[in-house]
Amino acid sequence: MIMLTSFTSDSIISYNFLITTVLVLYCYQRILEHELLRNKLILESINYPSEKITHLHFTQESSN
Amino acid sequence: MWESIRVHWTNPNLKMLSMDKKTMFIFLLVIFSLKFFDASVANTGILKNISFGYMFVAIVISLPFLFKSSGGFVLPIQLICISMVVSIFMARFTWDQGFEYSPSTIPYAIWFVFFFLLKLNIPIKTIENIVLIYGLIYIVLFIFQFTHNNVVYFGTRELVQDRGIIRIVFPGSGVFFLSCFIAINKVTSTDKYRYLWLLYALLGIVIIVLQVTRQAIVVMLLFYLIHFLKNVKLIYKIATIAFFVLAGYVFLNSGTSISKGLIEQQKEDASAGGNYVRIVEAEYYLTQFTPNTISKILGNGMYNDNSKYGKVIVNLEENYWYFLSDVGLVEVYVLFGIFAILGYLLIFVKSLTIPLPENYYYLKYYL
Repeated sequence: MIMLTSFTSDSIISYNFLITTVLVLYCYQRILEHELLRNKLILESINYPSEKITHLHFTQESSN
Repeated sequence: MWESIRVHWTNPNLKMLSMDKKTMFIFLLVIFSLKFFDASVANTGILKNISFGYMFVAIVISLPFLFKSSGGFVLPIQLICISMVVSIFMARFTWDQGFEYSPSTIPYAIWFVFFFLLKLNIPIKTIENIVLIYGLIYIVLFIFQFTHNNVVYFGTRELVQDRGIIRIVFPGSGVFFLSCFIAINKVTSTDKYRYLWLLYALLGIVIIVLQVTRQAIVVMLLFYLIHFLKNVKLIYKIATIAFFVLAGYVFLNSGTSISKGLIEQQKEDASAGGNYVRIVEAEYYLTQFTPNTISKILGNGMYNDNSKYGKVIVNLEENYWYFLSDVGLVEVYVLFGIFAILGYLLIFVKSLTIPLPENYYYLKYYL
């Protein structure tokens, strides 16, 4: 929405939208980091099967 | 020892206490940066000072985390943040605007808080809830202003008859749009309260039509259409398209003052062609406004209405109707320069190319 309206309105920079844009980008970044971490763990578990259980177990515990 | 640390961090009371502070920080930051939906009572005096003070503190405590993260949207936002700092000096260099006017940049420098949020690691669910609460507050306040349109309680515009209605472009619409996109996401991703979310989404359309801003109406309907067409069975796809076409036809031919006003405005703008006000404004600000080459690269800086530089802008708006706010991307370039534009373009490209789980499509719709 911001992108589409950026040519003909100040939604891109107005303080009416800015804080929400920052919150949206924060959520986006967190999801992205989570996905990257997940992929990394999967890759590690494939490459080092013996460490798989310990590593994933630790992650599970810390997230609880 | 490790056990005691573990107990400390998993103690629900301590966890809740810590979470509450973070939630409260964001909750207040949103309302202060929206300047209480531009309420007349908050435009001057102590509430204005508190808002600026809170935003300033939030920016300052975010500064140490500016270069602590990497990847994703970090680089584009760093570019925008640095452009804003540089632009303060550009306003001094190009327009001789004193540093005492620099607080005007504070509401725009809220970008810095992105890095502090990464440090705080607040759950996305909390952000969703905060946005939904403010979305509801927006709706309630809009209805209040709409039904009491003889006095301007929110915003700075005089309320006049325009496009067939007393036009109220209610400030703070970012939270409202985002809450509507969350609602349509919930309609298709959860079974709980599905009809309540649908009601919220439909109420969103009503509110936006009552504000008679054509591009907001079109963009909102477009995203609703995309979302519902993507997530439903073929029969519902056909029903959704039929509903939108029929509703649009009925509305435009309803003969109501709102539909007549919108059609007339559209005809007027279409007949203007190359003289369409936004094209003229963009051309002027891109080719004639900036006085030197360095400012053409690094921007002119944010203006304060009371400075000499601010008076030039106000004069252009009042006497020539050249509103910077009409041409968003051009405004970013004129105020903050090429690197800020680059930051925005990177954000847009990344938002289109980085995939998201279906539950979070509302983030894509907003961007």
